[in-house]
Amino acid sequence: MLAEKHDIDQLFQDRLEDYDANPPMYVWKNIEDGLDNRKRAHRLALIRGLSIAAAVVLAFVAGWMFTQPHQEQVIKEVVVVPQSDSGIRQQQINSDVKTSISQVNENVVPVKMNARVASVQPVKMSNRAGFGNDNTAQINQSAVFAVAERRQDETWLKLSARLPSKNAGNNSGLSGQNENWIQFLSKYLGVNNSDASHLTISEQELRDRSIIASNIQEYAKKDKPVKRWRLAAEASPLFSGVSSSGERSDYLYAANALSKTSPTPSTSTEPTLSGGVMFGYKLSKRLSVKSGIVYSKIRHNTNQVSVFGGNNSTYASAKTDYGVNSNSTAYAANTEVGLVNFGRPPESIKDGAYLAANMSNSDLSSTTTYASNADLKQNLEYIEIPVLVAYHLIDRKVNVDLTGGMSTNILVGNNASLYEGGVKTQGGETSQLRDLVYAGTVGLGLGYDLSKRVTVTLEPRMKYYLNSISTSNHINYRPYQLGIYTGLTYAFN
Amino acid sequence: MTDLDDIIKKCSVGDRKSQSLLYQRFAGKMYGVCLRYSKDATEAEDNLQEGFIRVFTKIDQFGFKGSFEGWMRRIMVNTSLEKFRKQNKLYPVEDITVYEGKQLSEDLLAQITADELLKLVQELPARYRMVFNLYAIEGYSHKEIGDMMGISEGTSKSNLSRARVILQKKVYEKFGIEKSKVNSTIC
Repeated sequence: MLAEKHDIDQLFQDRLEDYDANPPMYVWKNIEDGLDNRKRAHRLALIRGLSIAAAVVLAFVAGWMFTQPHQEQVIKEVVVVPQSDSGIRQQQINSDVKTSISQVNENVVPVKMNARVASVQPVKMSNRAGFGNDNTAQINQSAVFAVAERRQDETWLKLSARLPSKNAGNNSGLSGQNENWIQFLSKYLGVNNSDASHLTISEQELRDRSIIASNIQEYAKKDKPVKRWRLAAEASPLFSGVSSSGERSDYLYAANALSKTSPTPSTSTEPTLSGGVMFGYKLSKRLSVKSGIVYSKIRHNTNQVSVFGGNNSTYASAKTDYGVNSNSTAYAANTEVGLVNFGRPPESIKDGAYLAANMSNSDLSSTTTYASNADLKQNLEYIEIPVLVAYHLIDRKVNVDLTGGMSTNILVGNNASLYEGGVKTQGGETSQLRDLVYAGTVGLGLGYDLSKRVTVTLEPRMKYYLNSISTSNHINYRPYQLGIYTGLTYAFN
Repeated sequence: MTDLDDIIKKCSVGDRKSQSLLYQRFAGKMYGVCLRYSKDATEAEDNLQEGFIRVFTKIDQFGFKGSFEGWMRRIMVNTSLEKFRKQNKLYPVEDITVYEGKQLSEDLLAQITADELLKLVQELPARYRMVFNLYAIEGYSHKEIGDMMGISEGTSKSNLSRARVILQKKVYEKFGIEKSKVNSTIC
């Protein structure tokens, strides 16, 4: 672009192109630090990467193992030795099955296998009169199962194709299948062709075999992985009520907020929220056990609680008053649930002017100063650990479970607030609450299978506290709660 | 330069002693480069430090083709440019202006030291300083500068012109040279 190099450019280039200056010493130190930090960062990144990879692999392996059906390691070797018996009119098959069992998983394999299994249920049928006692074929079920196990796919297909079916119990048409059966034996049970060639099969044996075949079919049907573990997350609005309350006649303890003041306080409970995580284990097709951790809350309201300020010594000494005496700054009020201590006066009563302006209670004017009425809200929070048994009434696409059990409720939260003309006083605590309360639970659960593993559930559950939540002898507060729990359940193997 | 090759090879495996040797050999020149692109010594030190860390971490990418010093210098320039781009995201588009250039006398040239010139460069507004350095000292074309700085070729030319005007003015002001030997040059 330039027609000629500009003199200014030239000047600066000449002087500055190879300009050299010594940097301060600390620059090298900083460079070294920077390089070290990079190394550390790389190492950390590498470790983090490896950790993540290991965690992913571990989770994958664990998940794979967890979701795999239980592997059966049953029989390593099956030898069937045909024997002739001169006392019998036809050549009989007497299969002597020697089994070598490395490990039997009894949960999955429906038949306990012994070295000689003659008493397992399907084979028992061949021992009925006219069948087993005359040395008719005793094809050990274990043997057949073992072979089926060893050659699971192809054998099973061939078994299905070749063996007489359960319905072919009559003799007609069965004789033609003897050869197939012999071939099957020779091929899969180790009987060689020369032996098999002179084997003939009795009608009884054929019946037995047809039964065996049907048993195998049944076995195959049952050989589905059973999803035994379930994990559920659920939540519900919780409606509470009280079955029995404090002794209203007892002025000093439970009644003063209820019966001795005017207007008479009323009580109510407010709906709260509950939720938690449950896991279940399927014991059998019908029965499951469930447990978990569920948060629940009781909110008990006492309305029209009187708030006093004054020096009523009776109230003060009994510590059951709902007022504030002159010697104490504490405020306390009794409710059905128990005495609520605030440890300080209500926000409104702290103001002397407010007190003076509201001196209106004629009965107690000599000793107390009436302030106003207020609403007292008590919150009791529990962590519930239920142990429930569920019975599956209907186990289809829509499941219906009947649930019942007990729960231990651990008190985790205890607070109360006083609402007085829009002024809120916090920091109240209900006294003498029991740390552990037990409850009975019944429920009816509905589940709809979204997939093989995921089920959406709706379960109304009723919980009834078996003991009073207060340790006071004068208070018998046993709430009941109804929750309609909705949630998602995930089934594992 | 076999010893340099050896040092470079050792640096590529993170040998701290070789890194130190390499630094000692080139720090002065590279610091000079960074000073030209920076407004002051502190900024130059930062760029030098970052540039050298980059040199050491990327030294295995140097294929022993061409000058190692040139490769390092490019890294220092790029580091300085990146810093500039981070700090100055917007560039005003300016028209190319025609200006009057002035020839400097030989006497004048003899009087001016490199440090004085460096100071003048550092006093330039950042974008002018970048373009002036890249064009006048490094020898890049306006197109290359445009690509490197993410500006148009025209802006590069304009910035260069402004830089020249400012530098020329300052040189004359500072050294009190009479405006003799005036030549008009069009960029």
